[in-house]
Amino acid sequence: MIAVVWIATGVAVLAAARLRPPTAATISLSVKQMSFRTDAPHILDQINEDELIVSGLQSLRIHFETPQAVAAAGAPVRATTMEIQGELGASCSFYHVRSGRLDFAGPSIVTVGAAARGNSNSFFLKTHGAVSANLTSQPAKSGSRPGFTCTRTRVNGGPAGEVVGNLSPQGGDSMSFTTFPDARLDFVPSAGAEIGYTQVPILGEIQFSYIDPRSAEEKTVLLPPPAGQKNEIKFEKLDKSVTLDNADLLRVVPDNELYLRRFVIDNGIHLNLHGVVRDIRVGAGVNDMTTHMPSYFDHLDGQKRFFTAVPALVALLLGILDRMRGLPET
Amino acid sequence: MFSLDAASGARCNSPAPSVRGFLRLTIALLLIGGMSVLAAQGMRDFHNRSEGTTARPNALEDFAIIGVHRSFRPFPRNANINVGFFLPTAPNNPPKTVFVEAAELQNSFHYLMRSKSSIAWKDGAWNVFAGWPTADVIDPLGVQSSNLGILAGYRIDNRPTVYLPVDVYHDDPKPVKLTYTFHFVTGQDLQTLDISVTNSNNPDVNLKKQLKCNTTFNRNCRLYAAGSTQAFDLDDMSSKPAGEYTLKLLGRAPGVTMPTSLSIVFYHRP
Repeated sequence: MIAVVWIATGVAVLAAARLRPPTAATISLSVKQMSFRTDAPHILDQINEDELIVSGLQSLRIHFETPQAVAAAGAPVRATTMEIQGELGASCSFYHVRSGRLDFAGPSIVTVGAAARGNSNSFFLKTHGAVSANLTSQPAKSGSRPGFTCTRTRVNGGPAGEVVGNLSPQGGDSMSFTTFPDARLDFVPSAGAEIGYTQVPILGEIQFSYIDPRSAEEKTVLLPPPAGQKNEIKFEKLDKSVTLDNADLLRVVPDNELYLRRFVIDNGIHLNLHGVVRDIRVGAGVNDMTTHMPSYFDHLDGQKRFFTAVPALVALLLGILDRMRGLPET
Repeated sequence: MFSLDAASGARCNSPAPSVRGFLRLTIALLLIGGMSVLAAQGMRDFHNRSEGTTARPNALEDFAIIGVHRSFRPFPRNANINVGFFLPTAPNNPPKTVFVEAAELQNSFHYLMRSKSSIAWKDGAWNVFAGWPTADVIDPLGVQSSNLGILAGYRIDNRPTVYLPVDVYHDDPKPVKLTYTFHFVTGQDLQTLDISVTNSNNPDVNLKKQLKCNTTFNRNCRLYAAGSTQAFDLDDMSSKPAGEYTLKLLGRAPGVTMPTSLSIVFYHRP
């Protein structure tokens, strides 16, 4: 019987040390790019852009404020409205426009990345899942004016080719586009524009790494964080945190609800995730990934105040009973 | 083959039926879980190809060709994809390595398909790579036909790869067009892209076109963004003689005087 108790106790201790229950965590990171699956209906708010490139454009509708000259596959057209259809691989560049939020057609895989060149807030967004958005042309500025250029597109069902068009110099032309199920948008926001978004639900695992196309190796996407901040994982309820090396690989497996609480693009992507996670693995390489999830012992340790309070409560109760002479004589 | 009964028997002398059932269920669930993980990641081996998810190393800095299509018919789910291409007979008929490769045009899953080198191809004839059901990997991953780039070609020793434009279909082999579409990834922002096609045996062949953005809109305009996948069509070559042609891409980035380029060889069969 004693042996059974010892074995049971040993197994319980081992289990408490090895088992890692889902735990609420806040993850703060600075990264070059991140990929995630989401069922968010839309992402991003209004942005003023010097340039926006849409690769994988399927359709574009333009309503000009005043009739504009457009060259479609070499033929000049003057129009107040225009329907443009993209072939596979179609691409359009828009200049001096303001974009609205991006609407997803359904659950999508999204990759957001800081651009290697351009302004500090230039970025790209790749989607596996069609997106649509509205654009409004902005007034011309000195040295540049609103317009658009498309390749591999047809105007009103005509021959495929390059389409180049002016947008009204006073601004106000309205455009709406839809992409093929796989598309990429490259944003060059106007200088000083604040780019970010909040409350994006995350479905499934997030890998903070990318595959280097030259070596086929998995590489980190972490960046040195801004002054006063850390790349770290916090388990607030357990008062435990893990600081990450800027060259670490990181994998986050949500339990059910994980949110991209916010992200800001400014010389990289600065993001904050919060939710209950099932696993967090960190390592210097693919074969060095180890879990950083707290064990049951850590959870029990987090409740030490409660366990410390139990003997005090018992002593208090015994004291009261003793004063009331409620304790039996021994 | 793994025997559940043997496995459970090895651990317990004579477990009760309910315990044995529980063990069977547990092991079965573990196996199913393991298989689904394998199905989701890594390459799988089929009789004619390797297919799955992996990174395709690509040492090209500025341009990477990821699809050379003549005709591409979109395919639905649960289709059998066929890839037709003409394999020329090389002078003196040296041994060559023929391949068919497929990858996503815009990378989401690191999908890759590579034909096996053991397939017997016919020189000087139209060949079809068949037996490629989408139900194996493409459908479960969620790769769309509109996002698939396919390359066929051959290599002889250390000479440059010769690409063979492909016809992709699942039911009707009749081509939907005869012009060639090249899909590529640009490693640089491009303001202009010069495309030229030449044939060393026929100096009269010199197809040229230039794609560019409009610098009056923005002096630093970009036609294509670095890292994006793009495509262009060559002009109709059906009147040109059969043979090897060199395609040269010459790109210029905004505000940068140093151009970037890529030359590849493809075989044209009218």
